[in-house]
Amino acid sequence: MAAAKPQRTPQEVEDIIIRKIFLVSITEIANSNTTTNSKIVYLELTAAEILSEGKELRLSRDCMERVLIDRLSGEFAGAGDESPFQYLVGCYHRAHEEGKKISNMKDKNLRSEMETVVRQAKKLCVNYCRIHLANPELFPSRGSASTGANSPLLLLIFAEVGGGNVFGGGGGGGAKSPPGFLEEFFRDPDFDSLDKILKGLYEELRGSVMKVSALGNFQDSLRALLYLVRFPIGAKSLVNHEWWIPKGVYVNGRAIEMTSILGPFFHISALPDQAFFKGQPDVGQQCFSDASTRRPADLLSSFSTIKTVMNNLYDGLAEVLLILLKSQDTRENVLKYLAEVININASRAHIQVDPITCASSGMFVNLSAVVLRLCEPFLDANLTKRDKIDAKYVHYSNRLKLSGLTALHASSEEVIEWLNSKNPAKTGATNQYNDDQKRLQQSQEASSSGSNADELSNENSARAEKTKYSFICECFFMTARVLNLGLLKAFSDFKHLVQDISRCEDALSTLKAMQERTPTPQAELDINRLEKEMELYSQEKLCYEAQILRDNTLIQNALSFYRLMIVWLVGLVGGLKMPLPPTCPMEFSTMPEHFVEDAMELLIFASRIPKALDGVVLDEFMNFIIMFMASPEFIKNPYLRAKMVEVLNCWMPRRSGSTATATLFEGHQLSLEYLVRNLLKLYVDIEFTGSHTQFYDKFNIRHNIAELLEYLWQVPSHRNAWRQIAKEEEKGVYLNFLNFLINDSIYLLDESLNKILELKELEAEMSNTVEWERRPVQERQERTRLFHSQENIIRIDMKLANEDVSMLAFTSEQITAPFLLPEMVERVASMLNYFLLQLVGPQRKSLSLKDPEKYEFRPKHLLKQIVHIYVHLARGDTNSIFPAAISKDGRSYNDQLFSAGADVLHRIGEDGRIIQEFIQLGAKAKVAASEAMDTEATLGEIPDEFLDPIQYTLMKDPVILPSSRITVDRPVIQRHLLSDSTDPFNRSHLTADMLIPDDELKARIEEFVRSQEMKKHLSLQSTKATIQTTNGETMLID
Amino acid sequence: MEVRSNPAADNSSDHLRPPAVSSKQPLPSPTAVDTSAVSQRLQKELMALMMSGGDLGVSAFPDGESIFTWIGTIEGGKGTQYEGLSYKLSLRFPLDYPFKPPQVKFETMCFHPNVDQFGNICLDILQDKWSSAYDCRTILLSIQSLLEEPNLESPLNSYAAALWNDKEDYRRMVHKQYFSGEALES
Repeated sequence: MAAAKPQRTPQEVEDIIIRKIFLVSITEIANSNTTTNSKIVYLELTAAEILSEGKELRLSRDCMERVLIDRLSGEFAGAGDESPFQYLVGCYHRAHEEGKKISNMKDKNLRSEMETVVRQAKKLCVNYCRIHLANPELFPSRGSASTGANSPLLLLIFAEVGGGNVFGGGGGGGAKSPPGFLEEFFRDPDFDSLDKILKGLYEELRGSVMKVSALGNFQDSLRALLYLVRFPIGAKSLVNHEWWIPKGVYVNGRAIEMTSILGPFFHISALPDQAFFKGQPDVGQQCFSDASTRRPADLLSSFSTIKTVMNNLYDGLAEVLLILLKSQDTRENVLKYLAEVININASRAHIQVDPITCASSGMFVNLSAVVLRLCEPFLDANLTKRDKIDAKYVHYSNRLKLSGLTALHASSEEVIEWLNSKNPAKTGATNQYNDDQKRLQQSQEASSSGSNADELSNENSARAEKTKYSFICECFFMTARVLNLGLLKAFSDFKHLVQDISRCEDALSTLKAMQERTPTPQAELDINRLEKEMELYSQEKLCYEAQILRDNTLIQNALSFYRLMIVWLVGLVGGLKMPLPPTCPMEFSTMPEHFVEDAMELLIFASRIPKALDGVVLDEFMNFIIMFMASPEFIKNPYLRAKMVEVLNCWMPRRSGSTATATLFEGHQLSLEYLVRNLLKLYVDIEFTGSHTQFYDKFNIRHNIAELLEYLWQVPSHRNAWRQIAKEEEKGVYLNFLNFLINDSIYLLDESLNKILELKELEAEMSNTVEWERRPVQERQERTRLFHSQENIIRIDMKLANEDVSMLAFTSEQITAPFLLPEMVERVASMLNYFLLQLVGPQRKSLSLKDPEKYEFRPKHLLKQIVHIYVHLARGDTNSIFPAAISKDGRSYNDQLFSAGADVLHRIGEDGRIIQEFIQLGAKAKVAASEAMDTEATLGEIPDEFLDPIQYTLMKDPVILPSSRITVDRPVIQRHLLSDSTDPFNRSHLTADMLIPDDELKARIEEFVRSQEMKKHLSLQSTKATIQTTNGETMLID
Repeated sequence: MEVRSNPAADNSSDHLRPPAVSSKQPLPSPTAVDTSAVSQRLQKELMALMMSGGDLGVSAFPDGESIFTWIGTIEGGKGTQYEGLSYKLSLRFPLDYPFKPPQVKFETMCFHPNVDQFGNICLDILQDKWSSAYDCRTILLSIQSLLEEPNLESPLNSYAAALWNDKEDYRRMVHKQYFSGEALES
């Protein structure tokens, strides 16, 4: 037989190869044949056909397809349990093996011929795999072999992308894909034949990651998705899938998350979610349950694992989108998908997000990370591509719904008006538009103004010419929206979570304290419930920490984006230069407010994460803050400008512990020139936020400003700037600042001192055990809650008051003139007198507390500061008006006030020189009081028309209020105007320059004073005359 | 960051009123010259109130010897749910009165949508709508008006707000709280 082998004809070789590849025979299988393969199938029909055609019983390339069809269609006993797909893949594999043998053939012609045969066989296998997968019912199959129509192919893909690490799966086990099979399968110009198969694969991949959390196995599915998308046909099929963007009336944010092909991939997360949609395994429970009992190393390991797997997800999804975006065929669909997800989830911006109708936080945090990766190409250090960002996109884009968002400094009506004015050539259209607008407004009378504005803007947008925006432009605005609804929203949720935990802890400690005193079953139940609640909150908090706070890359990518954002916004007002233009350009004022708000929120949040700001350049952020912090003409929302102060608070060297941020304050040119001025201005502006809680909100905001100002006063260059402002703006911003500082000091200290008295009464009530136990449980709980609430208010008010008094003390040392202005000096004096009386007067002991430090109450320190203010102002009082103001205060001032103060000062150890000056001031006040008494006696009864109608004091400089026509004393009305720019008698607008001097009345008042003094003089003369007369009588008697 | 909340907003539940906290100011020396602008204004107001008599159903007088703390009285308007009742209020004048409003509280238990369990009153002219042209008389008259025309949209006592439209039950509750408050104080 050895001699016969070299003599095989090419046809014979071909026959052998084909039979080996397809495991078929067209001759009866002899039982005695020792080479029998039990899987070889005898194709009786094919054999019969060949014979009927008069050919030899031999297989050739011409009849390969017929052979394959026969094999697949028949029910052969010897075929085993292989599914058609498995059989076909096996054929491809065997073809590959035969191909390797063929490459060793010496006969070139034969080798070439056989390579063609093998190639054709492979192609045939691939084609029939496609046919089978697209039409599973076409060929019979043993049902048990397959778990799903597409499972076999998916398993091959998993094997291909999984590096051989395939877990579980179908009955096929870990069979690897034959080399080249998948490439050939997916590389075909005929889209239609593959489309159905690919769509099925995508649905299956989507299903495989549904309800999977960060700790679940999503890696294989993600890699498979990426693998498929790299094929042009795969990319095209994906974006044309009917579930790429689900349609329908009921498609909401959550529906698009769970139903769209990519949605479940974005849903994979470590963050908390609504119970029904939550991914498994439960990250919080698995990694962070009973966190306090776990080893720190274990927690760190969990943090690290979660961060790693999430970044794998981000990278994978970003790559999927990048591949799709690079192709002209698929880019538009990607942008549409992202826009749809954003628009349909706009209500995620609300404080309360409905988890049934909105996508999860996990999805949007993932989207945030992914879109930031898409932005990387244009987040270079020099931001060279920012001119490609077109602000008009906000108004004219049909992609994103941006026009309904609150603008920086323009109402929706102003925006529409401005947009109309930019199309003057379309006068006719504009008129028609106005008619449409009126009709639309009438028809939507009942709808919300936001909805109305949105409709109008959409109509306007549709009217504008369609503009093609660059990818950079589209990506920029989409990222801004995604971050707002995703990362920034997650920060907000985290903050609320921390507050909930804090509230829970308070409630728990209160209940436990009560339980110790009087145990009740109800309290026990409440404690248990709270402890369970605490455990859940704790798990959630650690999940946020794991996925967001510890991911420095995510935070810093976001910072890079917002650096671009603010540099770009600054460009809209003409670039970095101060002062700002007189009027705000509409391009800037019409930009969404949240662009700035999110930047500030991110800076605050990042500043509180250790090392998150390492290496981050903050100068542009500092420029932006200084430019706009005190500019209500550019950024209308006072809370947003107050948030800028919070950012600066975080950066103060004392708090951040970083010398890097110190240079922002001490080496930054714009900072040295404008920071103090702007802080003082904002301190004033924040009095009126427009909100119904404005009275209380301003204290928190001013607290932040005060912290900064205290720090800046210690920096020589800022202190000098401060003194300069006080000189230049003595009757402007600085006077207003001082007025509000004094207002706050009075209110806060007065309020906290009075609440101390209330608290002591409550305390006494609770310490009377017999009476206390007699009250109902609920009432006791209520009283206890009230007690703690009062404690908290006192502590905060006292802290704020201390801060304000401290600022008065350190500034008055070098800046005294504003305090001594006619409209200020009396109220400064009465404030100081009142506080002095509280601290050293008869009521002093009633303010004593067991633990004063607990309430930030330091009476000795406070007294010293009050005295310092007295002494500083006395030193600066070149016109000697301060002592008179001190004694004019009839409420708190008395003869013994200053001597009592001096006694206390001696006891607590104040500097002797200070005490001496304080005593001298007291003596001067006493003299002034005596002089005032004489003056009053001289004037006698004053006619009503000469009395100021607000204070009922003799007017010295009468002025007429233009709208109410009432005459008041100038210092009195100016004091009123410091807090309120209205006419107090009719509430119309009023400013100092509107006051009309009443010279006629002034002359009459001066005449009245002179005549009263003259009367006094004459009275003295009359007395002398009487004495002389008496002397005369005496002489007569003599 | 600590947040200072509005304490009035936290006290909307209806509970028994605690005993009034009286914080009388220490007496100034009798020899001191009482020439303060605040005290002059208050003396003028006091004189005007006394001369007007009680014809409008409101009156007020300093509590003790200090002119900076007053007790006011409001008669329930004729034909209103508060007819026949007389309510006592405390008025405490701040350092910078009249540039800042006085603190006004009901000392008699008052069942009303805009009055909380401690007697705090939610009234705009006592807060952001204050003007230095207002005085004690206008304040008391405004509160008297408020009794019959509550602001139901921002109640401090939500139970009273809910009950407002049920006149009979409302009046019964008014009387119940009025007299139980008396009992507590006595």
